Amino acid sequence: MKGNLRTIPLTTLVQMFGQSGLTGRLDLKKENLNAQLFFKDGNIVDAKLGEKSGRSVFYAIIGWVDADFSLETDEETSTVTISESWSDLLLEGLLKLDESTKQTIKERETKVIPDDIGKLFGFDKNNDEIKNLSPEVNMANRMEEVLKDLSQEIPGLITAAIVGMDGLGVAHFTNSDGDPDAVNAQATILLKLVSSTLEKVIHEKVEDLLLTSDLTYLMLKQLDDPNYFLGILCYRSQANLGNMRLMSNTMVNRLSSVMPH
Amino acid sequence: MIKIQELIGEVRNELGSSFIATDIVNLKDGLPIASASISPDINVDENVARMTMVMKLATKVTDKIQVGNVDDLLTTIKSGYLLMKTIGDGSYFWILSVTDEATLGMVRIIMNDYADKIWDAIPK
Repeated sequence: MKGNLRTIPLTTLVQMFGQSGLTGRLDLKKENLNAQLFFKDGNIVDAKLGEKSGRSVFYAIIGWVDADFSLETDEETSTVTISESWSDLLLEGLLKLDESTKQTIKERETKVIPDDIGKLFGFDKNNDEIKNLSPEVNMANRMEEVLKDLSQEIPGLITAAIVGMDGLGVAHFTNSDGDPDAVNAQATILLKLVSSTLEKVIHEKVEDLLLTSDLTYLMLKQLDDPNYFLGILCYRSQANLGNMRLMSNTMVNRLSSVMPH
Repeated sequence: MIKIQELIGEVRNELGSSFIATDIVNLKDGLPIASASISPDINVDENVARMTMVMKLATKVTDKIQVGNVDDLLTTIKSGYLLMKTIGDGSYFWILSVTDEATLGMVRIIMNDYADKIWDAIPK
């Protein structure tokens, strides 16, 4: 099996190999960097990048986008440097990737818009008119407005978010001090596994998913753009299931209209 | 095990034509201890093994985001619904798939009614 991560992301490969219990070596080549992931019964037991090995290598390469890969099945390693299950490793990797991406965005924003830019060019950079110049900011604001409306329609809403299938949140509204990024990452992994499972088992796509726990309802609803979904977490004692489904259907239409096509 | 088969037979009768398949599964090893379906062609073992992975992940997710134990997981697809419900102490779970003709609220009520009965019927 050969290909490029632009076609099949590394997270998808790990998930595929994990579910199928594969044993083998995945070679990855990005420019002059060569990495190797060793799978044993679906779990990654060793990761190598130059002189480095272990979990840190997996976290370093999980964000690779343009890299060639090839799989050698039944190739085993005698070195075991990773003990976590493939799903735990993937979850942790996605969380780290999320943090790293946010940090990069923050650094870029800082570089692009210095605090003293207003003084340099004679305007207030926090002025509403200036803010309105950015279509991305507008779009994010509109999505957050929809989520805010949703929070007023669903009693007990803890958090609502638009999340990419890469696990990164695009917009969110929250009524709690909790970390929405952690919920986003976990929800993405679950939705991906359920989607891939049902496509294999009954060849159908998931429309929505509702995870009921002792305390909460977690609803995940695919948007028109299959690269994104709406996630809603609310207290079970206060929320009404029928209302959640109805409102999420309504809001999905509104969200689709404000998202880029 | 005869008692469990009888119980899932009752569930099948209650659901009527909307019933597609059901399995009672050991979460630890992913093996079904009782099954019923409208089609003999369904590969029960493979499907149940995959669903077990999903249920295990759902358990991890609720643990990581600290919202208590999994009660059930409902997935909506174009042709119907797939429900997975924790039974008893969480060592077993129940998979039920129904067509979109089923009334979702009714299916959940039936599952809640029968979950304890099935748990009581599992040899321990």
